Amino acid sequence: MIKYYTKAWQDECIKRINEDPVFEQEAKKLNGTFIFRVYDGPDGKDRVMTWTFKQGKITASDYKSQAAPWDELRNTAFNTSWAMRGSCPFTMMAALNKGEMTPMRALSSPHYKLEGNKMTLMQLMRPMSMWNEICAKVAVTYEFTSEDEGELSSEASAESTQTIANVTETPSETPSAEATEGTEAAQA
Amino acid sequence: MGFINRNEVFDRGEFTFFVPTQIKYGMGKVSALALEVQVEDDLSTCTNVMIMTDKGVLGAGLIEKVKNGLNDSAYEIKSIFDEIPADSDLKIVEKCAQEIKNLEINLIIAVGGGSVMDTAKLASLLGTYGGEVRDYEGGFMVPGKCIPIIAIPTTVGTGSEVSVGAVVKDHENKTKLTIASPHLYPRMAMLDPEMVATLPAKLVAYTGMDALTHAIEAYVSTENQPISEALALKAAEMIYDNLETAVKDPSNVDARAKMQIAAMIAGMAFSNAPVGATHAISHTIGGLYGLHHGLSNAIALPYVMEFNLEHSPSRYAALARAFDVSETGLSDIELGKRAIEQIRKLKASLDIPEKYRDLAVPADEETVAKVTEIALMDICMAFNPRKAEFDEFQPLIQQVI
Repeated sequence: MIKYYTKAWQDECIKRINEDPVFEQEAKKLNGTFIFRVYDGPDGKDRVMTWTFKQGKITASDYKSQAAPWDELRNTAFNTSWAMRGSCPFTMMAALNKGEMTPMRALSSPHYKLEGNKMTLMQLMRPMSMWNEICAKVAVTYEFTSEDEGELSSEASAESTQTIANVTETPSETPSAEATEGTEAAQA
Repeated sequence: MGFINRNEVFDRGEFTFFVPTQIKYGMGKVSALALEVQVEDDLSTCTNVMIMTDKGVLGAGLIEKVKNGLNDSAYEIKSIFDEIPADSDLKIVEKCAQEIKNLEINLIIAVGGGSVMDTAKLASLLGTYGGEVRDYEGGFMVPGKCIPIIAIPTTVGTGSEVSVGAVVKDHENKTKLTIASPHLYPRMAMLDPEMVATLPAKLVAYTGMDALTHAIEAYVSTENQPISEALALKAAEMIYDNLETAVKDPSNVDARAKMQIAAMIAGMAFSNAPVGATHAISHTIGGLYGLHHGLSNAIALPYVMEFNLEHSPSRYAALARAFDVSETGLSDIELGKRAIEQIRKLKASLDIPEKYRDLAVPADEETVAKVTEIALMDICMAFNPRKAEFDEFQPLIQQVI
């Protein structure tokens, strides 16, 4: 089974989003780069996922992980060219994905940090909710080790050797219509 | 360096400001309603009118002013929907929406306070797109333009005449639903001090404290920015200077007119820098126990200010200066405490109870836990300067209850 918040999970989400005709129709306003930093995974890693949308299609994505605490990731300043950046512990992200926690509840927590223009993000609530719903339907497991992740996806475990700036500012072009999905962003 | 704001560092990388509502102000302005509406190209042909109001406004004779304002014009009043209660709910919205459809209404004139105006927004939405209010819950779920609304406030608090959202009660589930969308802004707000001249003192106090809460929470909102700040601070100062007089001396037209304007300015501020924990608590208490929204806000406000103080000291210090605290040499925290003292004094002068238990809200542990959990799920918490988990928020609820 796919491990949550790994490259394999992101790829599956991207695939489902980019192949969803309803999402394509409803999410045309979804543009820009959305970044999620997820700390302290069950494998002892921090991770960052980048999802870039154009007219509701995911055109680029990126995933990186590194042993926690990944100071460079945690300390990188927000760039206003990004649509948003969400940051929280893995357990909170998992609770959101499982529906055990509502986005509203997460937003009241000091452990969930949302950066970006919230008024603009509120305008994107509908497509972001759809994005989240599609991702939440991917069957995943939340318990895994660092070794597990390596088994799941060859790309996934590739420990990042890039800088955070590289990771977030130049996400790799996603081939074909494969897609991604974000999770917390949508949830938030 | 300015005395009020002390030239704070500008740390917002980006912001948005948006208020599309046209504002018309004037003593006796409602008597020229047809003139003011008909000159607007987009409203000149919207002649099938529904007036939405409540029985209190109707009984005060204010609807007669509106009717007179439309006399001898192309505008035809197809219906006067006066069934809106003080704490409107989903069923009223649906009933009104059905009437809008049946009568092919294309212009709504909402005359009343927050409950009337918010009901009008949601009835306009359902009358245009159908469905249920829950289908549109949250932010920006409204698909497009709705039937235009002319909002004529008869209270001095809600700000709904220029605001992005609407709140309505779900009586069955004892919750309040918040719907926010740029399509819910009224097309026009008409402010006429004559429409608040007969507002009972108690309602001036409650709605005025609601407006003050809007101003203060917008000023310290996580989304505050220079435009909303200017509006919020101006509104806070105007309300602080005029609320007590407006309550105690109904004949003081100046004070009531300023309250009416200040409430609207605060509405513009919080539509762009949303309110925080006071409203999260107030929505919860209102949903569970039916307290007046303004009264509920007034009770929670100073406690939330104390809760937030260390996370936004310079903001509360600026509010203290706006509230006439002229002492110098104090730290921002000390000034913030002075601002809270001023709010408490103002509340006392208006005979507003100190805690919810004074209004028969249960103060047992179970209630405190329930209010804490529900309030933490309110969207307003996202904009409060201080975030909190249950264990951190519960003591605040314990205090205010």
